[in-house]
Amino acid sequence: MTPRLIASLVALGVAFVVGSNALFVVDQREIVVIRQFGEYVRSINEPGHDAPGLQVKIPFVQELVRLDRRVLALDPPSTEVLMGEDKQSATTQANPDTPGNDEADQRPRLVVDSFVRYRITNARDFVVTAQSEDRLVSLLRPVVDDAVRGVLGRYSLRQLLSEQRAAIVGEIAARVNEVAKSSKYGIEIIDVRIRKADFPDRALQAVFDRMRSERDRVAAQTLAEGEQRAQAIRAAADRERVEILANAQRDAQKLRGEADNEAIRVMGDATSKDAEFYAFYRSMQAYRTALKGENTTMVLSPDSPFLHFFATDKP
Amino acid sequence: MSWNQGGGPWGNQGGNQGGNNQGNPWGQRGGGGNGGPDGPDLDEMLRRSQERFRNAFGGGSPKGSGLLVALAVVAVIALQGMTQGHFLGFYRINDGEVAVVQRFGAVVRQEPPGLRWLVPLAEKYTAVSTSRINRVELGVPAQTTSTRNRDSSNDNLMMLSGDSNMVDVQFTVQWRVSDAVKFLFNMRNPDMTLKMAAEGVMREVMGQNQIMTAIGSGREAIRQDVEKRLRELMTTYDAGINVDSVQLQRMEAPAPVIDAFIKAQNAQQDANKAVNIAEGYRSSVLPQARAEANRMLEEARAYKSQVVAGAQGDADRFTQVYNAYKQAQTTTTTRLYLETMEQVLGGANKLVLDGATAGKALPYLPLDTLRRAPAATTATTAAPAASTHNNSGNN
Repeated sequence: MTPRLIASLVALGVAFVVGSNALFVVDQREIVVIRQFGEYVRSINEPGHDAPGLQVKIPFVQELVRLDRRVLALDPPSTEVLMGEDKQSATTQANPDTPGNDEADQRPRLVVDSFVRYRITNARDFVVTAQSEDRLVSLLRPVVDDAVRGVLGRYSLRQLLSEQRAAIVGEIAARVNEVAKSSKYGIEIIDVRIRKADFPDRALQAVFDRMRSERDRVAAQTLAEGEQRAQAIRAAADRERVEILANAQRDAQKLRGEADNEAIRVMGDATSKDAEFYAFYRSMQAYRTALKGENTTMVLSPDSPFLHFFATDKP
Repeated sequence: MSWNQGGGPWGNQGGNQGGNNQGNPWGQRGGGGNGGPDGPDLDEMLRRSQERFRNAFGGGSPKGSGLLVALAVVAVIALQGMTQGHFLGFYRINDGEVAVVQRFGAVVRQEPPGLRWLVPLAEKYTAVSTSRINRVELGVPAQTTSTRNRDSSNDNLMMLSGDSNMVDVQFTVQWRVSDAVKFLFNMRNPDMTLKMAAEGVMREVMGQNQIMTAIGSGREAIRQDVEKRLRELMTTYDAGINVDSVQLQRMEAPAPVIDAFIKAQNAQQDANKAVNIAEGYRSSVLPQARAEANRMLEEARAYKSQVVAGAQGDADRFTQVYNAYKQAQTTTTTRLYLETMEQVLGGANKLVLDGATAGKALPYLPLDTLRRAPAATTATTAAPAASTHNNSGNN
């Protein structure tokens, strides 16, 4: 190897090292901050200023900090939140004997699990204030926690479970965003959502007991109502039966009365022509039927018209 | 040698690429490594190296160093390509996928399925399936009976209903990548975000429903509501995710209290049963009553017919008799009277007591004996007494 070759190889090596330090790739999904001796110089590919691709910096003097440009998520650990007092049920639950501490006990405790989505909008602020994502998370966590507690503490569980939920969550997001802006985290809170808002595990048994007793009550009520309806149906059926029979009885008696009326009228028409004779004639008929039979013993007086000739001396 | 020749055209291409691509530091190294001893000038060296390349391949020059360098370049490109899923720039995109190609980190194009080529070292691709349906499952599926016994643990998806009851939910979200670039570059862990969003939306919807609605008739409405809201939310997130559908596997009372719910359901059935029995009673009693009523009416009608007809008959008979009687009144009454007496007294036991005897002494009549011995006939000769027979004389 000639010295020229060695020299050119060295030169080439230096050029390569310098070149590879001066040129750098900016990915679509990252923001690159260039710092010179630790001082912020500029940032590349911030949201709104798309400039991904190959970029140049002053080699060795300037250094890079790569930040995530995408929407990031922060999932703080769940916190136990004391909900606000329910104004509707507060009046009924208020216990006049022991004011003070008991008031707090009526407010439900919830385990709230929120998650925050944000993105870095100002790389300079971010690098200066938060420095890294890990540090930002540790900064943001108490802010979110405070916002969640503060906002939820002003609303009741009933409100959180209602259509108001979106507004309440929006309020939390606004509060977090406000802090993030005023302390120049360089981020924008896109939204805060409440993933979970449940009773704590130790309260679950009480909830289950309540659910169970409520079902039992419903079961008993259902049974009783069923029985009530059944009784009503039976009673109505019985009443209807009695009514049907009574109406039938009435109609039957009416028919019988009509029949008797008719019979009396017919007989009356016929017999009124000669009442005396009818009495005689009918008596004869009655004797025949009434005194019929072998067992009748007749005690007769000779004065009887039947024995008129029997007792007379003259034949 | 055969391997080298086989890889020749590839190597050539790759080598040219590396040499020609301006601003590619690796390409410079590839070219520079071959630098001749003639001059320190970089351009000159480049030019020479390119010449040597051509000599090495095109001219069939046996220069070992040139061949070696070309080989090294090809090997570097091939090795680098292997880490990124392509061979010397060639890669395959399957059906239903789309390749997002980035050049130095910037997205330059999207490639449809097929055999595609990219510039090695400078470009890289990410294949994203836009047709595959992905699933996110939330909540624990209840496959075995043993899982039913476990109490509320955190892996179980329990949520508050609007009436502060707990509901055990298990559901699946099916989603697809609708925009590969957005999916890759807009959000970190978009599928994780989707999962959280799905849970949040489900809880939100559940909070606006009563438990009996949720586990009963409102199930489908809740499913649709969740699907709609989640789809809207993912649209606002602009994460390139399209929610295809939300499926509810389970939405019921938590395992520890499910027996109470079943009991309440059974109570409903028992209540219905009681009502049905009562209806049955009604259905049997009323027809019976109607039948009874009908019978009573028919009996009354029969009575009417009987009585009226009987009266008519009696009246007609009397009229007939009366008409005949009017012809000979006295004799007819006498005859009727005597005939009747004859018939009546014919079969009876008779006892004739004299009126005088009856007046003087109380006649002793052992009624029992008379009844027991009807055959014994006692006749007492009565004293002649004047009797008037007025009946027949009357008109």
